Amino acid sequence: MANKVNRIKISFPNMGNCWVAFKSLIESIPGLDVVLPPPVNRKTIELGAKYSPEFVCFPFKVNVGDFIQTYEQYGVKIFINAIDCGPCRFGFYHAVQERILKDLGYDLTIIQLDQADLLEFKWLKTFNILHDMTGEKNKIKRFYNILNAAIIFLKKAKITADMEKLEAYFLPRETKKGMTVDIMNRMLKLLDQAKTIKQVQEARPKIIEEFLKIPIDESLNPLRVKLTGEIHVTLEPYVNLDLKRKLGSMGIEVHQDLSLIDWVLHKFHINFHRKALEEKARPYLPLDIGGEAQWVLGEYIEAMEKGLDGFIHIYPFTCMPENTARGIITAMDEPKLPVIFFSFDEHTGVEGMRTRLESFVELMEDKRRKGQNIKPIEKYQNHQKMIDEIIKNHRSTVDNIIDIIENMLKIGLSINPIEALNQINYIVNNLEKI
Amino acid sequence: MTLAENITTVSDLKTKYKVGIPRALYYYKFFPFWHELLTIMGCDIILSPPTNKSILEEGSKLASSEFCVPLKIYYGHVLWLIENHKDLDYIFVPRYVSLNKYHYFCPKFLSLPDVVRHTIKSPIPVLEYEINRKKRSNIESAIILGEQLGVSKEKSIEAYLKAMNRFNQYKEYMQKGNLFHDTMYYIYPNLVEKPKVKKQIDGDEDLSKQFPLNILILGHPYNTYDPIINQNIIERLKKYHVNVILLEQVPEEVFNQRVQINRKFYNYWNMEEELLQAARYFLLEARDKIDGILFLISFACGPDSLIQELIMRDFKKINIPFLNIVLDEHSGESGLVTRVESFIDMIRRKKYSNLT
Repeated sequence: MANKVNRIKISFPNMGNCWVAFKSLIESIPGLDVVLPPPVNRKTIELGAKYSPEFVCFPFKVNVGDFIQTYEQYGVKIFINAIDCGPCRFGFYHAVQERILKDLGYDLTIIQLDQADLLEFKWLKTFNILHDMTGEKNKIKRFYNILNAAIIFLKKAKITADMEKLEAYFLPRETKKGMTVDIMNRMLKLLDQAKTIKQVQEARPKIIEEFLKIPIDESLNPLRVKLTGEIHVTLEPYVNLDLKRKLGSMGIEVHQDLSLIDWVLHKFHINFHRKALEEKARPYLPLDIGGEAQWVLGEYIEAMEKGLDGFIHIYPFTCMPENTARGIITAMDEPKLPVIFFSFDEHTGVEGMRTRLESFVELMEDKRRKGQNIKPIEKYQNHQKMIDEIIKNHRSTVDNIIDIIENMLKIGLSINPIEALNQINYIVNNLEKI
Repeated sequence: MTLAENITTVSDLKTKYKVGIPRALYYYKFFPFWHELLTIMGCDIILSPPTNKSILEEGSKLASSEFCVPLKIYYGHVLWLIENHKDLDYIFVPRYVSLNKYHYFCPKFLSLPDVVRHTIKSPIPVLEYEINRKKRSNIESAIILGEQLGVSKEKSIEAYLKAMNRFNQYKEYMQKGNLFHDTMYYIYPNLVEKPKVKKQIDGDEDLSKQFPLNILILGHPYNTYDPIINQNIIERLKKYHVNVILLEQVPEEVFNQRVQINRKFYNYWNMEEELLQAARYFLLEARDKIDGILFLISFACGPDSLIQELIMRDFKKINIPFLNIVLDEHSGESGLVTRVESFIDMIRRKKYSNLT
């Protein structure tokens, strides 16, 4: 039976730690072998910048580099790239990239993964294409594969986001330098090895246990900084010059709500945090203009209310929505947080950024010494509470929401009406828990 | 009824508001429509002057350096209105989100009123006109605009219909090959100044006259028609006896069918749709009508950075010369002239080489 299925090599572009979740999303379909692209490196960016249009946004160039390197090194000919038919450039990526690479003589296909509105279930098309390639015709098996893939994807994405939060918490406090990063890397591999839903659930406590082994200096009261911006640049460490870890090693606690799971939940229309941010940003920007502009504004206002020490906004050079957000943030009247903007492209240098970052940190330290924070630091409790929840392995709201999505998926994909009714009941019960 | 007749003037009506319109961005596309709509609603229209160096400089100072020039110029025009007309009741800032169900405008248009309010911090209130066909019909949008001016629903609908009528007339007139600035002067002699007539010079005038060329200019109307942004490129081309084909002169029916990219998905940007449709027309049906293409693209223009790449690759395949001109506030005149001249010479030599 096994030799009936064609084995196909398939890959997708880099985006930080998201590979763990994406890999399992595709791997859950038997017959597909996921080949990870080499981590973003200097060569990737050189190749990307060379073959891309001159002032297209930076993630486009990085993706092109990823495709070329994966194709050349591993002979992968099928790639997946997400699309979003919104007002920003992201939706055009796969079409123009495929065109450029084909003209260069690379015989590859880029399959689109439509994530414009996940409840329209357009993303199922991608799975149909994938199943057609493997030759799986049995509809029930297809249904099972998709369901399995989606659930493991959501769970892994959530765990990855938690790990990133833990990393940001432990990094400035660790007494044994380098231990946090080391554990982070090892645990990502551990998570990657979990292949079934059950294994993923079992992996979670193990991962947290490992993080708790890091000796920390509890007396430390680090500066707290909000880091946000365009999703690819924020999540891909090579692109943002490893800004997050750099800040961590400078003794600064980075708060970053932006993650893959945060985005996916938003696309399922049940990300309550983002809805709250939209409300906050509405007086300044009443509609979603693509990118993360509206939420960045919301997060800036939220960071002021929470009394953080600073705000860092990063985006690709010439990004249309993020630049609008930047303009509005710069011109706000309210008592201001120290704020710094970084735009990234292939010319961004480490030294220039370090100098700017150091003076930014000095500004924040100075403000705190003089007690000029907008709100006293003691009032800021939420983040600590969240970390505690992750550590104690409590079920958070997000976990409940993931459960709901799982069940929505089961209904959406279900052929059996009785099964669907059961699922609706399950959802109603779960909604009450929230 | 011709285009310039029966223009609604404020003297016919009781003027209530003085409204400023920045002469930038979609002024170059929708002004006849806005003018009719607003005057019927009882507004006296003040237009900022044609872009000049100081407007460009003021705008660039305030705007983020990563924005495109047209937007920086828009900032400059708004600042000019704030500075010179303190008695304005409103500044008219449209928010173009989508003209139909499938398309979006560039994110910079989506947030234009917010930018004027919160980044430029205009002390004059913003008269916002949101066109969003994904959410509401055009008539509803006109009614919402009317509400801000205290105009009744019936009056708003009437204004919209008349404005639409005027706009269609304008489009027909432009299709006959009339130039934008001449047309504007023809319709609004009181608002718009007379376009300067340039003397024909050049020693080898007669020579180039014998060898005419057809060049298609692709680009946003605000890049094509603003002589400060594009260093007066249309006049220059005429001087070289080039027959310039503009988007407005492409037959109407070309713009009916949506453009599919790589046979995979439909384009979702509004202005780019027109560029792509025109490109498709000349690629498939009217290949012999053009000898070359000039693409005017402003630096940091998001949508164009990708569209231009696709169009360029298509025309390369069928061997039609393609020149991409990047416009920004630092671009010098001589550099542009040299490039355009050599481009024209190259095409002319190629086209007529077997004659000589």
